[in-house]
Amino acid sequence: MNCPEVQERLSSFYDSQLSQEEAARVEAHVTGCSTCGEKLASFQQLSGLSGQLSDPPIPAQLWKELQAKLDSPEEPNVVLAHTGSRQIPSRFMVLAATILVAVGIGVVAYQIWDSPSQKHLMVNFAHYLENFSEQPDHAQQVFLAKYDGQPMTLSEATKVLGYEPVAAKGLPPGYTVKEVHLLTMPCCTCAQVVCTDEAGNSIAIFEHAIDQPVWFGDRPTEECDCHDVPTSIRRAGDRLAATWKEGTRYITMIGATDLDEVAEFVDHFKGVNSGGVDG
Amino acid sequence: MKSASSRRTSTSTASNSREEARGAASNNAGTAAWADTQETAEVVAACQKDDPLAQRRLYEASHQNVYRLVVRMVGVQDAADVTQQVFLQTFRKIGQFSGRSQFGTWIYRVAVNESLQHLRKSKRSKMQGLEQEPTDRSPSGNENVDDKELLEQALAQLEPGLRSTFLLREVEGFSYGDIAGALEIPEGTVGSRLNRARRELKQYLIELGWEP
Repeated sequence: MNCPEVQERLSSFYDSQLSQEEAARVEAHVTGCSTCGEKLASFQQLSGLSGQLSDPPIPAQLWKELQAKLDSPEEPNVVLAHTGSRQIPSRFMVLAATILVAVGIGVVAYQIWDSPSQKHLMVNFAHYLENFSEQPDHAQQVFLAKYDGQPMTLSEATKVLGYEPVAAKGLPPGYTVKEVHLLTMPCCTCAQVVCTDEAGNSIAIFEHAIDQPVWFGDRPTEECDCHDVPTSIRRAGDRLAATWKEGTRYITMIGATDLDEVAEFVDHFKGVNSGGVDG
Repeated sequence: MKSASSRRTSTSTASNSREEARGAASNNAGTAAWADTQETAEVVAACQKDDPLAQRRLYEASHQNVYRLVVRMVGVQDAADVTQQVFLQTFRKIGQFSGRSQFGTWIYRVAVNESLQHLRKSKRSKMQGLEQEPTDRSPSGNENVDDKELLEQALAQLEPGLRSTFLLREVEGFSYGDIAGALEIPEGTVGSRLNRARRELKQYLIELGWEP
């Protein structure tokens, strides 16, 4: 083993996570290499220092304040209200949005009544939306099994779909592509890109040719403008799902922590589809 | 409730000095991560029925662990608010806890998620208000600061994702599998995160004037 190979495994070695055989190879290298030996020694020093850390004193009123909040009416887990640059819809807009949602529910209900496959779609999406924030891998696994999720690269998806998914043009800073799938659903064939932020939180991005309110069933919808782009927001577990139109296609984002994160994606993708081929 | 050190399992022959250093860390943590017991299961089941006495028992059993992590994730100023939010979320979502994972891991997941969400929001508000200040890593003024305080300062400079990984390992005594469960990351990523965390922490400590 050379130094980079050893250093790549150094924490796993230090924390006794390697197999006996691999640990012996790392140990043999470290014994004869002052560079790697020093790095390992610094791990030990950090553990020693960490061991000296004392527990911070806990505020005396913590339980009483918590109890008061527990006794008060439950607040929504996800804050849809927004400050700063967001354009808060006027009362008229809220009323209009409510009417639109009501009409939307009626249309969806008709479609569901009319189409068993769409009913299944709504049920499967409901499961996905509720579970994605807590168990993204499990939710993905179930959903991909339902809709023949084909893993592929972004360039392969571009060839199959005839357009380049927005994620291929780059994600907002701090996000990386985790997986790409092609989904064959009763409503459409679409690209799904799952990305993660620096903390490991997952966000799923669906790109589709027409709006798909059926995915969200009768979930309440809030309409708002994110960076001047009309965006539909729904709750998904303790996260948000957002849909907006970018160029000729719609983007649905699932797993956003708050409206600011939605706005970040809307702004980042703004204009990327303006010169593209229609999907 | 078991201490963290009793949960860890060794898969290879580790040197005595490594074990001593690791032991020192976990011993100090005292009531670190706990293994689920029949008692935990009963308290969780009662909390799922909104039993206020069970909520209090769960809080008493876990608030020190949660606060210890949260205070180092978000800072002492916001730690009480975020800790309350962790328990509010825990009690609201405890019906979703199916028992597939350890409850100890589950509540830490809530704590990490709430801390990261808080940091994300405060980062945005600081950026909107142009209040972000450059980080001072100069050693001046640290002459009388002990090594523990230097480590606290260095931890505060560490990227939150790396900080949570380091704290779960070194302070809470989590196994790699439990860290992966709490942070919802692949187990294979834990080692690489710890490599980065330890490397960067050492660098920050030296910049702050630490002399190994």
